[in-house]
Amino acid sequence: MDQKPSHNLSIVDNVNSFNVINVNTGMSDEDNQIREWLSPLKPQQRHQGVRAERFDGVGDWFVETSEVRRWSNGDGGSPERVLFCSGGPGVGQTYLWQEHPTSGKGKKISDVTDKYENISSLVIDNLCDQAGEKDLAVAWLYCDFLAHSEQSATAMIGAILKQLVSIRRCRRMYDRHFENGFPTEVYDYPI
Amino acid sequence: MLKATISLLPRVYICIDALDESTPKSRQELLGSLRDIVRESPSTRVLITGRAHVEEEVKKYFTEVITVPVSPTQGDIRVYLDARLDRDTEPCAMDHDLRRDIVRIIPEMISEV
Repeated sequence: MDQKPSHNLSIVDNVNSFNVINVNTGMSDEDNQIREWLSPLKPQQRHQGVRAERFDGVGDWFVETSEVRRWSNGDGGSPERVLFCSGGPGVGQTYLWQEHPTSGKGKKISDVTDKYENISSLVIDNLCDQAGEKDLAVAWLYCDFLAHSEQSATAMIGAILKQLVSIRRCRRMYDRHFENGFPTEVYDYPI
Repeated sequence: MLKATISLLPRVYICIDALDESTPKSRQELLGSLRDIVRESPSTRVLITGRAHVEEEVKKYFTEVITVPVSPTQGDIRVYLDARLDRDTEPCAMDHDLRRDIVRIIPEMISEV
């Protein structure tokens, strides 16, 4: 059990190391420390990876569907605030296979039908394109079977938060919170 | 803290990819937080992708959910196959007819599945 400290404990550790580092470093390092403290997850890097693997043109139709438009354009009065995209029956099992030339064994060459990453990354990019014009902010998270140990709820929520704190107007709130070091009331916020 | 931050912003979109890949415990906490955020900041929009079995969980937290089943269109598969074939490391092993058949037949077969 020694190997598995709760996330809160690791936050405390980070707070302590932050206070030490803060004395000697400039603003930019401080920003990085705050972000790292909020969450060890790096959703922006993951997004870049997904984009790099994306095939141009695949799934473009999705962002133009009436459901996506209704969801993204609805105002605060609209009750439909959540869009859930799921694979239909059988989609999870649909792969393209290529036979190995000598062994004859099948090898999966594509999970194009099994992943939603494409869809998510397309929507994210589409929203980011509109961000400047429409004064909106976008935050995201890619969940991963292989990262259960670091994807605690605290880390996941922190990962969303750290994408939003880079926005200047949020910084004011953080500057207030952090001016006397890391305050205990951060923990009192329901997250 | 996240709720306080979001309340400062005019409009926030949160996208959660592959919710089914998170642990059930994290998922419950995350969905609970998202529900609280949306209640307090009604202009917030949440996109969740995942396998169909987490749909019921999502609907426990949000009453009005727009659900879209996603599967690649024949056009998507064709674009994908073209892109893969363009990267073929042994292009000489394939003639024009074979390539044409691959790009025609595979999307049809997958849509039948």
